[in-house]
Amino acid sequence: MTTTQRVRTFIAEELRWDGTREQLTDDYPLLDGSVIDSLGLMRIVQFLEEECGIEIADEDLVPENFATLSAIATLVDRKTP
Amino acid sequence: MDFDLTDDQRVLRDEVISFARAELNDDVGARDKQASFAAEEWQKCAEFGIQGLPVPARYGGGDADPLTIMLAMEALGYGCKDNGLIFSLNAQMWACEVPILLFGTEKQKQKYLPAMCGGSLVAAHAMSEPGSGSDAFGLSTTAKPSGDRWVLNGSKTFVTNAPIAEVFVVFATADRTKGFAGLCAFVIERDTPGLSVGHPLEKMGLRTSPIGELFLENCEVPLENLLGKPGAGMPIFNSSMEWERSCILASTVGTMQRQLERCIEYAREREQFGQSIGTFQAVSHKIVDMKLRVETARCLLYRLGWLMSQRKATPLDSALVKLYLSESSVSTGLDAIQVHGGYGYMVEYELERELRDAIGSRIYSGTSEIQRNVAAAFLGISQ
Repeated sequence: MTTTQRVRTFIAEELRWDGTREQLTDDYPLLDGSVIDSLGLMRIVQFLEEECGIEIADEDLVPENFATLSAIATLVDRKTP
Repeated sequence: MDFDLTDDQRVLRDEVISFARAELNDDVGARDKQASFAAEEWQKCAEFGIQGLPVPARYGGGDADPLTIMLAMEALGYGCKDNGLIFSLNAQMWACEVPILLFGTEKQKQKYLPAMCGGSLVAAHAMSEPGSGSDAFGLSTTAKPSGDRWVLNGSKTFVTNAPIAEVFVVFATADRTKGFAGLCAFVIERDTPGLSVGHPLEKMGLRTSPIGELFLENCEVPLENLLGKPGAGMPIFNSSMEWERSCILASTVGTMQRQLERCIEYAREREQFGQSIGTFQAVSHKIVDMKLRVETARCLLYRLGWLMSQRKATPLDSALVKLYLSESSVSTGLDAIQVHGGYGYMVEYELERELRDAIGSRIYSGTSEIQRNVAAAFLGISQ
């Protein structure tokens, strides 16, 4: 399973997502669409650190890194040793 | 698993207790009545090294690790009866020094941190607004870029240290439609045109810690006063809240220990019906509950300090510590008064003041209800 798929599953099952998984596209606006709130962001960070074995610093928590599933995957790729 | 303190930690703890007892406890009752801030004691704390605990030595700090910081603050709470002074120290350390240290430019760090550590500069953190408290990111203060400046408009309330602060860490939104992603943080000096501070607000407890409102009216802030990147307000706020929730109540563990020892002494000496009141289970069981509470609180706190040192702490850990320590300090404050009976209710015995001080802990830095919400979310049982 790719990073994008894993994060999509996490968001669909754990956060505020009422649609289908197909509707949660790679470019769906997660922040502007209020899918991720501040608490949800902290939970995604914990999920990524545990699932992907990476460390996400405070300075990485900027909107552009979490705006879409694609952006999150890019962040994970960049952080993966 | 090793529960022993290092020799250095033991020495620091003992030194903090001796310092606090000798230097910080004069006229606390009078200061509480007058709601006056202990400026001289603040300076003494700085000279001892309290304000600099979390700050690296190159910026004038003590470069202490999280567990050592917690031990020092616990010792401060044990030795110092001015909980308002300790609250003001906490407000600066976690919500002003830490964000500048973690997100500030080198110039900002050089300009502000040595002065904060040295006691000459008091700082305040301005997030809450009349319309946004627990819903912190629902704030309405705006920040608009204009040439080489940001222009801020709005008002803040419950700003601890505002009446005496010379510099403020202020949060504002650059784009309300983006929610928390539009949030920006600024370091703003008191004499900046457009910034004004309201009258001090009167509180139930922690009365020696001044608190007030902050008004921003076309307040023009140079671009270089932005803290972190545009839109980085949320991680700045969250990281400082993690530090604050983790450390702000370390002193209450010391306070609870002091109250426990005082209750044991009183229960052994005070006689009713021809025997010491400690022989009555109604009293002794209450004191045992106080002991259990302080030991549990200390274990939770130290474990969090260790997790922070290992970079393994999560918002769940800090929420549980904040929740348990605040609720415990209120329960212990009530028990201490009950053990002392009528005397405990008297101002002279200082227990009523400590209870008033403790009640605020269930509200500031996120209410107990918010801590439960955070914990529930991280347990996967709510969104």
